[in-house]
Order: sequence, then C-alpha cells, then structure tokens
Amino acid sequence: MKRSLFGKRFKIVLGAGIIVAMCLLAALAPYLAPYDPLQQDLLRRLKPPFFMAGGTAKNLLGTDNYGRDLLSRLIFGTQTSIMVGTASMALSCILGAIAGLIAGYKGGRIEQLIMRFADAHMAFPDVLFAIIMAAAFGGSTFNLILVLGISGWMIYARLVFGLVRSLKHRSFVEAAVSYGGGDRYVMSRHLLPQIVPILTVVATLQVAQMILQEAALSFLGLGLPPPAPTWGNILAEGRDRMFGAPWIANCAGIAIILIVFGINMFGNGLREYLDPQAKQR
Amino acid sequence: MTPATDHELSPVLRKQDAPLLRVENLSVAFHTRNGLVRAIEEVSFEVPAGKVLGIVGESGSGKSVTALSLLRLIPSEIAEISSGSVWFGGRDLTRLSERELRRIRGREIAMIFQEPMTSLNPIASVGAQLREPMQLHLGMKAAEASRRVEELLDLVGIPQPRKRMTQYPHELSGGMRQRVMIAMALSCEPKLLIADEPTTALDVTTQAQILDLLRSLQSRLGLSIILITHDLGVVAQFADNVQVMYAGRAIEQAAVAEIFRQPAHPYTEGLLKIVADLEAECGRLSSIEGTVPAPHELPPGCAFAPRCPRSDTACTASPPPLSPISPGRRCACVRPVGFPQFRASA
Repeated sequence: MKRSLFGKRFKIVLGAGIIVAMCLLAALAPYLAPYDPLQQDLLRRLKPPFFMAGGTAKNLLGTDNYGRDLLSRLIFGTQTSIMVGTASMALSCILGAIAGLIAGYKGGRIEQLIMRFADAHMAFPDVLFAIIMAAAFGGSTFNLILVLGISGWMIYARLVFGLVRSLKHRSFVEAAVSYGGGDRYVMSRHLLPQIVPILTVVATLQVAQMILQEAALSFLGLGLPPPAPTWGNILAEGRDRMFGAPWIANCAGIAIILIVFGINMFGNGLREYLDPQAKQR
Repeated sequence: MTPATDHELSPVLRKQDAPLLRVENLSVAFHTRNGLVRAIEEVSFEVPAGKVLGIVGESGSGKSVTALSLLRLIPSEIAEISSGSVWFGGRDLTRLSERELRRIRGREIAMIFQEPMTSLNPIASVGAQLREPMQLHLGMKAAEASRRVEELLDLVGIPQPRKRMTQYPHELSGGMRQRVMIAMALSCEPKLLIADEPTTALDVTTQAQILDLLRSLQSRLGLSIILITHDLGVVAQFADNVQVMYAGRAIEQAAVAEIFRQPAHPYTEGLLKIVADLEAECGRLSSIEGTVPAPHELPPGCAFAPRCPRSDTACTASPPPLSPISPGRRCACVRPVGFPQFRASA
C-alpha cells in the first residue's frame, strides 16, 4: 500500500494534496485568516515576516505598504484564484467541447466556420481582449471569468475536433446513426463519453494556466481592481518594493508556483494513470 | 436510358400488392477531386414483403453503396443521390427530411453491419446499447426496455441474457457481438432488415450459425431482408431473389433457383463457374480475367465487355439496359448465356 502511494500514483497524491489544501484554505478563509484582508494599519506598514529580522508572530508573513496582513491577503487570494481558475476553465471547456463536437461531427461548412474562427481567435492576443473587456465593463470577478473563459475555448475546440473526426467513422457511431440516432444523441451519448478522459486531463492542466493568466491580468491591472486581495494584485503591489520589502512579491509568487505545481502534478499523474500505454512501463 | 419497369402506375394506386420496398433508377455519385463519380447507376429492384433479396458483387461493385443509400447513410458531403427514388410504405425515402428519415431508421428499416467487433460502443454495456433504439423510437422507460432486451437476447440465442446485459462488448466473441447487433436491429420490430455482409468478418462455423439464426428469425418474424454479400453460397442458402451487380450497375435479376440453373449474364456465369470449380476440387481454379474497372474509367459500352469471353462490337457501343429476358427475370447483356432467342435491341 505504501509503495503504491509513493510509487505509481505519487504525482496524483502529491498534486491532489496541494489542491485539497488550497481548496480548504479558500473555503475556510474567513476562519483561518488572522485579520481582515482589507484592514489597514498604517503604523505597522512593511513589517517583515517572522523569520526575518524585525518580524513578529503578530503578522506571520509580514505586512504590505498599507499595513495589511499579508498572510490574510494570501489566504483570501486563494478564493479568487481557485474560483476564477475553475470557473473559466469550465466555461472554456464547455464552449470549446461543444464547438469541437459540432465542427468535427457535422463537417463541411459548419466545420470551416467554427475552426477558421478558432484559428482567427488564436491569432488574437488575449491581453488585448482583456483590456477591451476591462475598459468596456470594468473589472469584476464575473468579467474576469468571462474573459479568461472565452479566450481559452480554442484549445478544447481543436482537441475535441481532432478526436471526433477520428471517432465519427468508427462503426459504432455509424451504427448509432443507422438505428435512428439524431445528431445530438450521437454526439452526447456516443462521442462525448469517449472524449471525457482526455478532456479531463487537459481541463485539469488548464486550471493552472487560468490561474496564471488571472494573476497576470491582475498584475497588469486588468483583473479585479486593487484593494481586492488577489495574488496578482499582491504581486503588483510588491513590484514597487521588490528591494525594500521583497517578501510581498515573493509570498504571492510562491503561492502561485505552489498551486500551479500542484495542479500540473495532478494533471500529469492523471494522464499517466488514464493512458493505457503508459501503464505498461 | 431507363430500363423498362413493369410498374407504370403510381405507388399509391398500387398499394395493395405493392412490394415492401421499391427502388427506381437509383444513382449515387461521390464527390471527388476529379468531380462527381458515379458509384451506382440506374439501379432498380424491389423487395416483396417477407422475402429475401440477395445483392451479390465483387468489392467496388456498388452493393454496399446501394444498401447505405436506401437510408441515406452516406453523408451528403461525401456522396449524393443524383437521381431515382426509394419507395417504402408509400413514401419516397430520398425526399424525406432528415428528421422523418430518423424515424424510419431502426424503427422500420434496420441495418446490420459487417464489423461486429467495432459496431458496438466499447464503453457502454451491451444492455444499455440494446435499450437505446427502443428508448429512441418507442419511448420505452429503462426498466421496460431492459425486460425486452432480455427477451431479445434470448431470441438471438444468447445464453444467460441477464448476465450478458451487464457485460461490455470486449467480453463477447465476434459471433456473440453479431448476435447482439441482430438483436439490436430487431428490437423495434422493423419490417425490413438490411444486412451488409453480416458474416464476412466471422469464422466459418460462426458464419453458418449466424446465417441459420437470420433464416429462422426471417421465417418466424416474417421479415424482409436485403442481404449484401460476395458469397454466392450464402445467397443460394438464404435468398429468394438475387441481384448481381457489376461496376455500379445491376446486371442480372432473377429468382435464386433460376440463376443457379442457368445464369444469363456472362459475369454471373463466370462467378458460378468459380464456385463449381471449388466444389469439383480439380486442378486449377478458374477465374475471370482482369479486374473491375474503377468508376471513373468505365468503358463506353458494357462495363464487363473487356473481361467478357463473349463480347463483340455490339457490346462496346453503349451499356446494355437491364431488360426482361423471361418472366420475372432481367439481364443487362446483348447476348445473354443460354437465351439464344433473345437479342437485346442495344
């Protein structure tokens, strides 16, 4: 048992451990965070973490420019990251899978329309799209999810399109049509279930991408507006004081690295676990 | 250009004694890089209720295309029905909408395919797949459909149906899977079954069992069957009428007994000679010289003329029409074998 835990499925166990810990942090943020993440205390600004000279146990990871507790802000930042990451992944996965299914199964003109649109979208910079959205609708969690979700659909569309193209000529799909299955029936009952394992792996890895993107957009000031405790915002605030108070940017950076690492571990582990060829090794 | 059909009346007027399925001058063309290529040309036949029609031909003769075209199962971007009609139950299937056609597929006309190994969804249980046509067409609830699945599996001779229902396709042998496919095809009690080389992918003993099963089901349920095969032995055992196809055309139509007694088309004669040689077990096997011409390089006259031992100048002028040579029998040949009194006016 011990061998299997740290052998074959080591990546899944490690990744899942990190993800579960992060999710717990996000869910229990109001109880775990020692302070209100927005509460300023200008007398205690730029305090270093407890392990650095001048740090105290009062603010374990120190404070930022306005004297807000960094640990509390990081814990609350987990909420935004995980929520935005998973919600935008789900949105782009649903959009992309539907587009890919239809394009791959119907073929012809519909395929051309959808896939050429995907190609065009690939060439369109996400950041530009985010700027337009932020300028038009302002920064909110919902808009952020919309921007990230819409800018990620092509990956799924291309993946699903390719898989469906090869699946639709399999006899069992043709047989389903021959006994009266309609398009929607064949796509949902016969094609989609075949794709789900691969889609799961890609979607998992994509959450990490989305979290990175969210941090990048917040860092650029295109995500949630400043007082909101997101990792990207903390990173952006820390940038100005990279030398005076390096812990601000570093803490946010480490948090991002940790969750991305955990998700990638889990995703890769899952891929190896689900891939029948990899099992023989 | 049209072969004379014996039915000039409209299908509505002839309803009482109309055959279950009547195909008239069906032509199907494939879209290729070199433009449209005719895969089948002016094929006409009918299937009376409760009878078995065997369609025989080599690979590429258009027999499978014919079968798939009846239910319009070839996607329109690959091929199109360029002319002709398929009359079934007073309606022309070539003119129905996709939605109307879906109600006929599986419900009134069902198909069995060549590849039982891949015709079942690998990740759904046998029971779940067998339920699907009934849930789609008859609006059955899962529990009701499950009971019927059990009966169906029993009907096609699968022991322990209850256990088999929960199994997945990879747990069944090829013969078992083909039985499952047959059960699925019969689940909505169709009137017509199209079997596209149902035994080709199976080993010989299983082939015989599946054919026996089909034959007993056919007589028990009063099914009509279109049996597509390249195996004349299967036709001899099983079919009532035969249509021989060559290079996309029907070249001979007759009752089974007739065609084995006296083939009329030189191609049919050639095919039968090969079978006869196999049975006689002597010396070299005879063969028909050459190969089937590709659809885009058909000769101007009879497509079989370049390989035909009886061909003369009359054969290369234009393709001979499928004409009646004796009651209930038609042949597309200028000089049919064994019918010296007949000379087609080609």
